[in-house]
Amino acid sequence: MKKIMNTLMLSCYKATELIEKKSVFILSPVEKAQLYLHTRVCDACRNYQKQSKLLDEVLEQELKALHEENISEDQNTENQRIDRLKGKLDSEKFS
Amino acid sequence: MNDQTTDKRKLLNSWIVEHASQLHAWAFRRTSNQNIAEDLVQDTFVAAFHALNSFEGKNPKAWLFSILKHKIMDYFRQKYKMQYVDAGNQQDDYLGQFFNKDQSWNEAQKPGDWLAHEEELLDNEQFRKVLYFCMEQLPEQWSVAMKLKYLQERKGPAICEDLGISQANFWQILHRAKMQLRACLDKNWFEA
Repeated sequence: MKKIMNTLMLSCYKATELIEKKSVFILSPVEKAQLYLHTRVCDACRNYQKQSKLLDEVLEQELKALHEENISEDQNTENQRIDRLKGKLDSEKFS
Repeated sequence: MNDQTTDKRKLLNSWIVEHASQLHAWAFRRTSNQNIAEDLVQDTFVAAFHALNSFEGKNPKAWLFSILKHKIMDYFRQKYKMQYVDAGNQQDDYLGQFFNKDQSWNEAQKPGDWLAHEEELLDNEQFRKVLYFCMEQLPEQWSVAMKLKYLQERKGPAICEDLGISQANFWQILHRAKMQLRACLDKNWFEA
């Protein structure tokens, strides 16, 4: 039974790969159909798909929040950085 | 130091005052690391300093951004290539931990149901700790690809262009990274 499933449909490995592909690219109509069929009958991959989407949401929020935190630095830090930049340039010999 | 050089330094300094912060913010948005962003902006101004004779345009800001853009692309390509060898070698072993030879799920790795836990995740401090722990376990090349996916306004094809990799390569990396991250969370959070 497992063997028939694998020839007619995607393997679990390929199915999970398509799930990730779908999060950054557009799937072809055939790929969409294959993925749909597979997740209809495969509990493990359906769970994977749900969890993958959940992780995408969590990670996106988390990384964006972390990013905002980092970006709102004080004026002092910024001035110091600009001083370092000027210093770096002063030490550069013109060729 | 002759007068010409002094003039150039003055000009560069005025550009620093005017544009450095914006350049830094832009570099940071792409690398999500303050130190790397700072280095890249420094490299940009050093390159601008040496190439000043070739600058004929009226728009220094656009010129500086185009230099920075190349610096960022170089940075990602270099970083990506450095670790690519390792990831390539690990590939077969890596898949073996999750899937059987016929590409079906390894029984012990089959994703179970997380449903009961979903709502509390985002506000849970403990979960975030585990999430960060698991992110840190990823090979750097994989987490670079992941962070670009979530942070960039640019879409998949554009990210591949920045990294100098094929689209297939990009989603395969994301696949492996997600697989490992999911398994790590499973073990350390959902089943713990």
